[in-house]
Amino acid sequence: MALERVVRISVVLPVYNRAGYVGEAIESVLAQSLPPYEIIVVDDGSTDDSLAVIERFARPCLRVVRRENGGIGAARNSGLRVASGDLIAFIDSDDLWERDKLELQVRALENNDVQLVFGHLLEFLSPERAADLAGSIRVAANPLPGLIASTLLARREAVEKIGPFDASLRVGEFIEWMGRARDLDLASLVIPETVARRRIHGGNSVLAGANTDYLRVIKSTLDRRRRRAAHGG
Amino acid sequence: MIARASEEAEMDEDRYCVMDEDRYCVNEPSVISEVVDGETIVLNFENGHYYSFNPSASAIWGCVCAGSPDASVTEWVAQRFGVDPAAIATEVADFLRSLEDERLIRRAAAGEGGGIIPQTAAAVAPGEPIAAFSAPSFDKFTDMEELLLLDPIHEVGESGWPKKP
Repeated sequence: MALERVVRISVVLPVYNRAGYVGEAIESVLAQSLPPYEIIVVDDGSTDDSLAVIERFARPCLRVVRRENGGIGAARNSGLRVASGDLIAFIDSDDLWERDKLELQVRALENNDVQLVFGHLLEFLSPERAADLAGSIRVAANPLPGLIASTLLARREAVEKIGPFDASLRVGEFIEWMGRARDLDLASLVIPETVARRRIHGGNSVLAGANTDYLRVIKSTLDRRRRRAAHGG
Repeated sequence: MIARASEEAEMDEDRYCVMDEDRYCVNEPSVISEVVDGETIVLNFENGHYYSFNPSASAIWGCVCAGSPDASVTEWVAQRFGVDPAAIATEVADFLRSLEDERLIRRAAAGEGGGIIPQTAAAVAPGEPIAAFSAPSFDKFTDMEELLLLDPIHEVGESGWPKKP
């Protein structure tokens, strides 16, 4: 069946100062066996050459949204506002998709009564850092069940129901978003195939103070659940 | 020279042992915590487990964060809740061991931290009991384990996210 004729997938790719990686991320989306309907690249006020790299991929399906820097949550929200597909996928600018990512996940959505489909992910050391990071960073040898944005394909109505990402969070924004998805009892599935590769490049370190955003995410999740319980839901 | 070095080593060892047995410290950098809207939240990045502490547990946690010796922890908590230290010593000690079992705290090595009165989680002046004492406890949650363990930490500052507007 020609799936591309019946499903419209919007891919949201936020980028901030990732000129060295974003080109590969876009290439991995363009190489999909089931091409997306549109790729929305959101440049979150990059000050490096990210925009020049993105513009080299000019083609009808690729749309660039430029905005002032506001963080990854705000950038994803900007992409979601203009996305018109029936299905929504995200990819971070330093990650890569496997060629059959969208095709596998569309079939999983067709064959299962779920709203969100994840897959497995494989970590890899970014080639330019492989030599100096090999001894200091542990990279998982085998694919992991990947509950991250880059492995997700979701029905549009589910994304709308969950709502926008919390733009105030510097880290943990996807955890907070998924917490709301779980509270809504949206059915999800993790397919066994590897659908994405996550680049480990040594710049994934934690900004001092940003860590506390995880604690804010946890607190808001606990409070939401308590309110729900208090209202009998 | 040899004898003096040996004596110094012995003294160091004594000091190390005393401090080692007397004080806990937070198992950083794997464990982070903060009082958010009056509730102490603790997260262990090693396993993705997170915790919510009750008031007496929060007071104990504040002492550990501040590097207070074990004996001071009991005294401080007793003072805050207006109870006899002897009456809660066992509960405090048991709770500290449970935190150690959860790998949230560990025995402090020589020279780590300071033995001071906590200022962060315990923002009430000594001598003013804040509430009725109840046994220190925490609620432990494992439901976001796979999300917390996998969350990609976005790059720092000008070289990428995170950056506040």
